[in-house]
Amino acid sequence: MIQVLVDGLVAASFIALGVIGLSLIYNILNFPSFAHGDHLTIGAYFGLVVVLVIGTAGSIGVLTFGWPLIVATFFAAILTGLLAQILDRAIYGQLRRKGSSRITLIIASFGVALMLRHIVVMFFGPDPVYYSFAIQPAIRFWGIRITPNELVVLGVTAVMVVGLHLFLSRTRLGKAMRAVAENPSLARVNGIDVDGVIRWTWLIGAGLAAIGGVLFGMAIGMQPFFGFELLLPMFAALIVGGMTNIYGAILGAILIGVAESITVKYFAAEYRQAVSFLAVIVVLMFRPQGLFGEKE
Amino acid sequence: MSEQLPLSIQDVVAGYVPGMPILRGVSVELRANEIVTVLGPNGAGKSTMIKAIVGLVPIQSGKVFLQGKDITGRKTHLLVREGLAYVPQTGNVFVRLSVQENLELGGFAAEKLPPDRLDQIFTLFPDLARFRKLAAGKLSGGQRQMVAVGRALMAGPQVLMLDEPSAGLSPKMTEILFAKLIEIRSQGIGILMVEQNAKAALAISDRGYVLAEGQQRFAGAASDLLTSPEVGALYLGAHTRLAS
Repeated sequence: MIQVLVDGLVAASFIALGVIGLSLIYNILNFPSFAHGDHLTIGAYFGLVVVLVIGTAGSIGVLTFGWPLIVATFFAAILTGLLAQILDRAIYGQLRRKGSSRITLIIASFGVALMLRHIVVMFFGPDPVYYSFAIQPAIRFWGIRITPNELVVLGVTAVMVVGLHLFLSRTRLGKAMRAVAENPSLARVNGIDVDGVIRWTWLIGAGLAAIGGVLFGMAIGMQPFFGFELLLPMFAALIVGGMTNIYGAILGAILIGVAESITVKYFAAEYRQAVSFLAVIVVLMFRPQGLFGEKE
Repeated sequence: MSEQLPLSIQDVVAGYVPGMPILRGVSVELRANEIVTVLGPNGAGKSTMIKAIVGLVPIQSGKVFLQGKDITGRKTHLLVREGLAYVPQTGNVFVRLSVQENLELGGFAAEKLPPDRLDQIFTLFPDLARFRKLAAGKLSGGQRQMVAVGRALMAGPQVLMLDEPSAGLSPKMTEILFAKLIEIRSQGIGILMVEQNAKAALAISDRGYVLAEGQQRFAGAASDLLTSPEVGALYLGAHTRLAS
């Protein structure tokens, strides 16, 4: 049982790193970005490019990666964040200025998603690729089996979530982001540069997604569709947790991750995706605003 | 001259749609240490005037001067630093943020925030100190208005603009809030407000303007407007009918 929980938390880590950006973008830019899953993909492949340039993912002790992948993660986060900013300036920003509806922005994000995904296919092909082919034995303690790489996934995610909390609650920019999320025009009246906050939102949201993507590639491996396949559980986590509550979304990610791992263990892996839908339906039936959302 | 005035707007034409102005050539002056109220029925353009001053509604012609400096069409978020604070009528607090965070946000734009600024606000509104950790959305309407005004004062403005500050408040609460505005004026901050509650607002004002259909109808000392039969018949006695 505890093994199922641990596997669920590992799956939840990727969803959580993705859903943070999804939630920030949803609340600050006011549309659900269907391209966000592909930010994980792009991030993972940016990481791969750096690893290929260096020539190896390296290794530290029992881990199948070393400093080259750490450097790659850093570059992946920055490059994906900048790419998201460029896409905002080229596409979403233009639509915002024209006063486009939310539906228009959603459809535009579909387009961006397809474009990103197929750029990856164009350069790397549709087949799975890995940072390293080294085989890593799982370690056992307290009756749990977990690979050292998976432990890193859990650790990095925990650090990112705590860091995000400190950022949002302690820093000037974090508070400004919360202000813009709640009431952009009042934020503007308060002297907050809303356009600047939007740029940071893309950088942070897409950057965290890229980190999630590299972790996914490191622990599982990557193919051009993995980010898109994570989009559904990410949306499920967002809806289950409450659209306006980023902490709710992170808890939603844990819920969905664990539910998926229970399904895989006791039912069949094919039903994994259905669990997300089921969780959304059940929660919305009893709490339309999500578990931690506020009533409008 | 406009150089000495804290705030002056000259022949401002403004509206959301070009060629369809809501405000059709309005001039208003705020002199040093004054409370000025702008009155008028719904749809007169009062809120549009304030929103045009802060850059939320495009100005098609005319000028806005803050301390003699032309700020016409300046980006909204840059005006706080220039010394212009604005309290919108609705949605004027961040309901999910704590009282203290609301106030801190008000000070973000200030280049150099005196360390005791927050304490000054809590001295002006002692109630807020007790609720500093509470989400602003949990406060009563009157307390929220105090948060909104306190936040506007955080950046140390020379001019404070309020859009219908008494809307939704009880007469008692309105009285308390207006007493605070007199206290704020005594600190050398000019106040320009738009109000439906004409009698209460004029009672604490130095001067007043009456707008109708986007143009100025009357202007004068607050006491004259209060006693003017014309203004009274049109905008004071008929207040409730016009507001409905």
